[in-house]
Amino acid sequence: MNQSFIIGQYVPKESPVHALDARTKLIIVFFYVLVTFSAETLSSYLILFLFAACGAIVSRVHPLFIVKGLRPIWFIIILTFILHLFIQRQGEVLFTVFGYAIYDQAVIQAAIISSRLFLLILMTTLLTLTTTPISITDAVETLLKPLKSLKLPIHELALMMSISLRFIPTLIEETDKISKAQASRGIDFQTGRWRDRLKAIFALLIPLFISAFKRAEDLAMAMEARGYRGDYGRTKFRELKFTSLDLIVFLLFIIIVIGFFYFNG
Amino acid sequence: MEIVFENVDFTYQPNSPFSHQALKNISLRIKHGDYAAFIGHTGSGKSTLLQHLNGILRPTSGTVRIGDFELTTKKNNAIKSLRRKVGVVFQYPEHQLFEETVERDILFGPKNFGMDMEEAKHKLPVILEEVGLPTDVLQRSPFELSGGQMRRVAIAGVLITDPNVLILDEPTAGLDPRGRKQIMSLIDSLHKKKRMTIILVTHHMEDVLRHANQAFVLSEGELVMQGEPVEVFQEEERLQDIGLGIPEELQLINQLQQALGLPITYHHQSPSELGKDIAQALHAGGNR
Amino acid sequence: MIEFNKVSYSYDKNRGNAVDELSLFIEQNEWIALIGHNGSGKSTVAKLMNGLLLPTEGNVSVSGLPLSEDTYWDIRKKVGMVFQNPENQFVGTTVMDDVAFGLENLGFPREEMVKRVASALKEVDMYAFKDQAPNRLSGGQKQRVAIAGILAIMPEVIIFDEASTMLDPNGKKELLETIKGLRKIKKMTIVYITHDLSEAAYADRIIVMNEGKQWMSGKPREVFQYRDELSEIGLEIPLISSIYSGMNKHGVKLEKEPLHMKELVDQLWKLSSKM
Repeated sequence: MNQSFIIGQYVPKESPVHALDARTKLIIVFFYVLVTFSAETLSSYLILFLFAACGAIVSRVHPLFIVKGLRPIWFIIILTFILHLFIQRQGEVLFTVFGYAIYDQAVIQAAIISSRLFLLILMTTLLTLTTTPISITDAVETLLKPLKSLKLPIHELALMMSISLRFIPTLIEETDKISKAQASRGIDFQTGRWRDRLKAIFALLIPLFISAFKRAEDLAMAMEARGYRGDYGRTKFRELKFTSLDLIVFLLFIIIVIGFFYFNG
Repeated sequence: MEIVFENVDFTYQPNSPFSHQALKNISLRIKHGDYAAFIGHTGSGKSTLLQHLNGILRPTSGTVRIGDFELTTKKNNAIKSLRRKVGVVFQYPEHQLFEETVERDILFGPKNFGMDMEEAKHKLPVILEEVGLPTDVLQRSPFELSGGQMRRVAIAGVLITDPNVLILDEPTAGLDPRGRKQIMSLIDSLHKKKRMTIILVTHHMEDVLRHANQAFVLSEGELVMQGEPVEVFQEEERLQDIGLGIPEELQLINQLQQALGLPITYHHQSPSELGKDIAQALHAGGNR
Repeated sequence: MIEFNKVSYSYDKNRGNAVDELSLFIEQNEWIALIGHNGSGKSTVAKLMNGLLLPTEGNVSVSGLPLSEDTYWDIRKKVGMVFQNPENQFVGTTVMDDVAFGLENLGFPREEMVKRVASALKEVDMYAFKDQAPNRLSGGQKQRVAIAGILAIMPEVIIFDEASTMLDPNGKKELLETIKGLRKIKKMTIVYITHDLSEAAYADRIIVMNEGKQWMSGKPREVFQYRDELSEIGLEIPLISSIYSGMNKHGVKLEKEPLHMKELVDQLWKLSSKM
């Protein structure tokens, strides 16, 4: 009954953005974020916004999904805007609200900061909407590979991530089942004194942990039976493919960045 | 307590792209003291229906009446007293155990329902005997017990609140033949001795035939057949159409009637008695 | 193929042996049903067959290779295992990824993996589901994917460790049909662990376990004649065998002990036409 739950918020579609190598998308998002933090002029913001908007359009993801993805942080963006509006006290007074002076510099600053936030979220949302969580995991693993020589457990971390992704729906279903069973035994998760509610949470969490450990044990045994011995002599089935499309997008991004710094002064 | 469903619909996540109607216009009646069995394969709506019996879910439209309780789309504050009267043993109930000792886990329900704890404690030995556990398990951790024993602890935790209706969702799943037999005869004795209304969900058609007096068949959210198990199982073809089988002994009787014209009927005889009937029918046929 | 020579295994020294001086021999291409009630030691036997456990005493060997700490990685290439809980052995995020998991561990080159994953999925008739996530599959389908994951490695033996216990009747049927289908197209040794004797009826030979020991071994028809003895150790012969034993007591003798309904009806038909 939890089929409606979609991990991350990946929306399967056939689009050039979906088709891009996850590494390409990760790297671009990374540098996009860096560049955004140094943006200062209106035109440089415009360039960044155009890039993200083009990406969103080409991805063929319904705009509603993007709006939905942004929903939880609208509040933060607006709050940031208002805070900056009142805190900044430089430049000329534009007008007064309830006896409080609003300065022109404050408006500019507030606009800059909240646009920054908006762009960052827009870009990362676009990444998760168009890339399966498992591809992101794969990309992280390959990109971090050089760190293996520093004895960092990159393979293990990536495996952990992918197994977590695999078991999220299972554990959600399990939580649902156990909470129903305990509710049938008279537990009330919503009302009551805080002590009772704490007890209610234990009645849910303990069985959930026990079952998760049991699953982990089973899974470890199944993996061992199938010859898993860590990174040792292992090859990979999933492959990330760097195509000419990725190259073109990279070049495009470099041009955008050059244009950005030109207009950023 | 009589259970009545009147035109019950249930839809998961209504008004969303994921909306899914799990129950369609269900009307049924289970009399007090009945042993009712629900059959249907995974996804037929059985679990959804069960969850209406103790108010875990409320109908999207229609009414469910359990004794004096009425469940409709509106919120009902008496839900807790309903849950005390309608005990539910979920599938793999051993997964719900969490207390440090068996005793505390069994007493978890009574505590939540605000029952007299001294009285509940007094009942412990009786309940344990009913489910077939020795009293010395009380102070042990439930997690030291075997899977079969854990399941009995979970059942004891439901029985101790003295429900009038007991719902069991595949109570024998994963058990070996001996464990299965023990659980089924435990349910039988609760039904006969304590006059509890039993509602059983199972994939074992043999159990339905042997134990239940009412069978309800669900398919794709609809109640497609109901009646006494023997009657319901007479419609072998209809059941096959929705992916269900009939008990093996009835299959055999049908085939022998068709292929050999043997006049054998099912009257709750044991397998070896059925063998005897077949032998006698054969001899009678041979002498004719 | 698989040989146990006085093998004992104990999980906890204070609680006696889970497997007790067990000796057995399984032929190549044999389909063995290993039966016993819960706690009879049958699953421990399974884990001793692929080195998930190493014997406390005695020797295990698989196609001539003795099991030890040095050889169990090689033995696991020969012996694949399908476990009880379909959910907890599904490692990959999609069907294809899961089938590839074993191949990845053994270091197969990617092109070879792609080929083997596709053909293994076709063998269990799950190719159409190759991109599905596990939470969209039924229990029976997950077990078929688990079988594909093992077939891809091309082992000599597949052990089914109570692989049907958590499945519904349709899932059980699906699993048995898949095994029967595979046996028709390729040679392999099968060890099928269950407490359901009607499933054991499909095997070439049944080994009955009780209290860590081999209690009996024989063809299904032979074993099913010991109805009362089996029920004493917590097992139940298939319904058809029970019915036949009732007929038998009342003077109906058939040529052979019927294993399935069809065998019973066919033989009765023959018998009555002679009457």
